[in-house]
Amino acid sequence: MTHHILLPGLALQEGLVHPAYEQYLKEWREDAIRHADDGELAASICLQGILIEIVLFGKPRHDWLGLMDQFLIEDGTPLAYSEKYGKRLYKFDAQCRQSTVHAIHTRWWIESLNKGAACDHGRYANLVLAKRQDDGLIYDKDVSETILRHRMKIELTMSMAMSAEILLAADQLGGNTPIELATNIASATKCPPLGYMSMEYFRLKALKILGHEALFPVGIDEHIEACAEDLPVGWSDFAMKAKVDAYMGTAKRTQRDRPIHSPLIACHVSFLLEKVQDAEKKNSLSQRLDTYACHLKNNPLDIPAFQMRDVPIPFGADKTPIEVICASFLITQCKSK
Amino acid sequence: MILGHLKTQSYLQRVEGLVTGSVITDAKDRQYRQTYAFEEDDADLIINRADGNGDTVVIPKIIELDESLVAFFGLYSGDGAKGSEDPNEAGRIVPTISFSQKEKHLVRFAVDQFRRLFPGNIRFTFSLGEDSAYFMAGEGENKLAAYYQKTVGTEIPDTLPLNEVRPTLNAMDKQYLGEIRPDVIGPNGQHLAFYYQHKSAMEVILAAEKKAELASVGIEDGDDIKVTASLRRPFKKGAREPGGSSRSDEIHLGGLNGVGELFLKMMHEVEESVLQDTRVSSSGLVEWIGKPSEVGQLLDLFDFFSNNPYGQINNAHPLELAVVGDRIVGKWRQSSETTLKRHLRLDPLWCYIAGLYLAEGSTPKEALFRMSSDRPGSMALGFTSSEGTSIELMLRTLQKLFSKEHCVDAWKVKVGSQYFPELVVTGLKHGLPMLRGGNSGDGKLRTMEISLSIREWALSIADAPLNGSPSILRRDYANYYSHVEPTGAGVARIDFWASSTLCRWYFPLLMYTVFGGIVADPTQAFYP
Repeated sequence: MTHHILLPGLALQEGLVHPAYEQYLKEWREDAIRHADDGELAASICLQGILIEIVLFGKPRHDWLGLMDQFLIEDGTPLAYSEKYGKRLYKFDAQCRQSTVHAIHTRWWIESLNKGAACDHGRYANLVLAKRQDDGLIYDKDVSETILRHRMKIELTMSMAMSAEILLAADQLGGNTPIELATNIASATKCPPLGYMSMEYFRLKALKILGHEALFPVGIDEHIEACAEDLPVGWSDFAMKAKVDAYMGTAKRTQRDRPIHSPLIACHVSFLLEKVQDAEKKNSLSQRLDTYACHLKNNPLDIPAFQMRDVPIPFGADKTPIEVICASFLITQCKSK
Repeated sequence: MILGHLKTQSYLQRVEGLVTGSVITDAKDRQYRQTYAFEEDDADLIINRADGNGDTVVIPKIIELDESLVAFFGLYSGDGAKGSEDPNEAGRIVPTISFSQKEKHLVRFAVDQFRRLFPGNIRFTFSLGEDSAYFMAGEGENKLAAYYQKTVGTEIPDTLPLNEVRPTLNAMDKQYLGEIRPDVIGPNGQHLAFYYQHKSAMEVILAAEKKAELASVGIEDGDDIKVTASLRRPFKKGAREPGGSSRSDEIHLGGLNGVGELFLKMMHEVEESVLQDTRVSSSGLVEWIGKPSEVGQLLDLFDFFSNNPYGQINNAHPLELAVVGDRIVGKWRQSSETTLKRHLRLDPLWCYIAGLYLAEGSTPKEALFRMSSDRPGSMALGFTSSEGTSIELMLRTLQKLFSKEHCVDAWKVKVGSQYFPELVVTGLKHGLPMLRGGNSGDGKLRTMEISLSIREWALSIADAPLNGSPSILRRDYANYYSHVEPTGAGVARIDFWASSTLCRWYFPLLMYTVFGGIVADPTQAFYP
């Protein structure tokens, strides 16, 4: 069985996919392969392509690693986007050559999957360690020069969790490294607890890998409850009422904004439930998770996109391979009738 | 030139006084409606709200739509208030007629057009708002110092403790004290004390400044003109450091209480008939003298840029100008060669967008008013809107003048900070974090998958008003999409820009359209 850090709790294996999503995933994969044949490739596409193959066929089928060798490596460094993929955006050439923590982790994970023990973990550990900043966090300052305060906090925790996973595999979490990294990612100054489910999931995941999950901030139960507000089922990644102007400190006007539930976020919530201390609350949240799983079982296509206030045009993606794989997993967890 | 008419009497008779419509602004879909009673008075109508509330308003039975008035509706569409939410009925707005504009010539233009539309007893209140942090340093502090020197013969007095200048705090004060502004130096209490200690002085300074500005374009203090100043608590909006400005200029109209719905209807019917290119708008309120795209003055642009006073920049016509078939090829001093169409019809579309660009375009307005007789400095042609109609009409306008490959350099989607969490989740759905660009994060978003996910939203927004037909943005410029830009505040909106070379051709024509019937020679002062 295969696991991926993006998808907590999921054992990736053949037969996981709910039948309602099979055709979508097959078409998505075919489309990705067709573009990849032309050199139009992104690390995120390779990853999703392999995830699809594992859940559809039980193992990787396409030579994604070969494609990455050809299009997503520069001087031994993994890239996020191929040159041709970069042309999907106009005049983005100067920005598209990126070696991000995500791209490094993706390359490492796929190579580990393909080569097993032959994978040179140390090489990837060195690449992520080179991303360690003066503030002690690991993130893509070379790709995005934005100051720490304005960076999205999900980047900080996700990069730390992915890096920690690589460092663990490379046996490079000795000495004070774990506690130093853990202290930084638990710091309320550097990475304040804002109540975003995914961000907190990656923080907890990083702290677990680093062996210091006791440093996880308290109060996650309230955040989980807030992210369920205004939603009949499931959870949003964030609470509408938590939208606060970064400069003004004042609440944003959100009365016309609508949260959406997401299978991926529900998986992250599921992981975070272990940090809910109050048994009654935990039971209630577990019941909500079950209700959501059963809702997806009965309505597998209910994976919405955002919209801008009243305008009924999808703002961003609704279902993606990652969302439907998570939805499929949740559906297998439905206990209620 | 008369392009059409607003047939207010026949319209109100047909709908039996019930004016309804819907408006989508800032991605909010809302309705307005009002029932009017009306009676004839020679060439005018006297109208009132049927429920007896509101003002009695005089309005012509038939209003001639010339270039200026059509442009005014475009201007109001960009800068005017659409209304505020009715607290008693969700989804309904109560329109109030007010207008945000700082540039003094445009203020005068708007005042004149309001008087044309509503020839009765209307009143104007000009309100100048400013963050009081403006007076803490620099230019503002100098003004405050000059005020104290002149009135009491001293320097600016030191700021006293808050409990002395404001012994009793109201709810807004308490809220202010609780707000956190990481970028601002100094405690909120001290800032609030500064605000209350100097509030009166700051108001006097601002009001005098506004009065002088208005007088310079011929708007003098009088019974129907009132000037007020309003100060915001320091650093409340926009200003992030002492001396920083966050000025806002509003025009509020009195004597028109209750007529906002009718005014909005006029504006929307003008816009809708231009978009659909129909001679009569759907409710019959607007009747053009022909198919909109076929009416209006036909300009020979070779002649315009050779001889017309408006066809000048810095008191000179283009350096080179030649007719090549149905095009002209020209070059301004210190600029590049440009090809444009030989003839241009100043049709309602062109006029409406001229006004809308004056409101919403990225070009500094002051530059437009001085370019005929002075060096305009660097100019840029750009446009931002969250509404597909505005994007479509602006692109149609540019394509009337330039070949389509020159009209758009690139376009992007700007997303305000309120919607950053939505962008983050969009990235997560692809398994990615969101990486921003630029030091403060408002550069090109680095995560391509997020930008690509938002592209289709933007194209669909552009298509939305066209009843199934593809928009120009999709048809001609879909591949010019550059990125998402996380920036500032507000809903997601489409932003495109074109070569600055086009400015020197487009802007003179824009100014001629709006002011050609009012000011004969723009190299002389506007509204002397």
